[in-house]
Amino acid sequence: MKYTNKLTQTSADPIAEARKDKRFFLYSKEARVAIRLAAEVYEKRKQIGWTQARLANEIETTQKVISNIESGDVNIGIDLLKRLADGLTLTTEDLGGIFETGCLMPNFNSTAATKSWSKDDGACDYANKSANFISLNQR
Amino acid sequence: MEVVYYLDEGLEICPVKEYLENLLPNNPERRVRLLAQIDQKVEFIMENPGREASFIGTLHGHNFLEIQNGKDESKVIRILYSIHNGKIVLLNAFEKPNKYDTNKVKKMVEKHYLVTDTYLVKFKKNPNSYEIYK
Repeated sequence: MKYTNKLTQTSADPIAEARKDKRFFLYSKEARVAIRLAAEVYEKRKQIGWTQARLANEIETTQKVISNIESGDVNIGIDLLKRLADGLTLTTEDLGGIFETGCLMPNFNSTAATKSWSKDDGACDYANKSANFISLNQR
Repeated sequence: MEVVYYLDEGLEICPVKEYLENLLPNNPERRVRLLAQIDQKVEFIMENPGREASFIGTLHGHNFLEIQNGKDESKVIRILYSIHNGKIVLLNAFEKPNKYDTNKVKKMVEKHYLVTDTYLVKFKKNPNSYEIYK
């Protein structure tokens, strides 16, 4: 049997199937933030000309942690995010780009907006921390 | 930019699709999380063509790139892809140990790359041999 037609489907698309799972959307939002942070950290670090080890030393962590962040597979805590932002001089605009996920509300500092999110949405806890971080960073 | 799965006419499979279908069937939660991560990395490439990142690997001597995604503590998933005629073509996928230095693993990795080279050649000969991604 010869397949030369893009309309031919060998089987259902596993990504499309996974989308039917209610957790997929939440995991996607979390992954989107981690991936954008990974790309931003990598780009800024390269611009400065630092190795992962040098950045780790500057912000008092380990090279393995930096490697994990740049892999885009992990979400990090607020303290480490602040140290990264300080170390790489990430601007509020840079951070806004990272957190522009559709989960975070337009106004990071809006209490009303944060309260409107569902409490069982883990990504929103993350978003709240991020909003607090931005508030702290702007002081 | 459109994303497609390369369809091998001889094997009658899309290698990446087959890999994803068989990913952690007994751990649905982890499976969904991994598929969401991989999907978001594909989307990142769609939205930022040409942008460098640590999770996008360039491969010396090969005309394709790889998306790297951690599977667990010790293994990394590699999705090999190429950009051809405005399409992101997902060519092949495999996983390998996070750290390795044995000849056995190196040979296994190189074998996957060589097979992927042939997939890319075949795709360029028949650019209709694909299936739409999601």
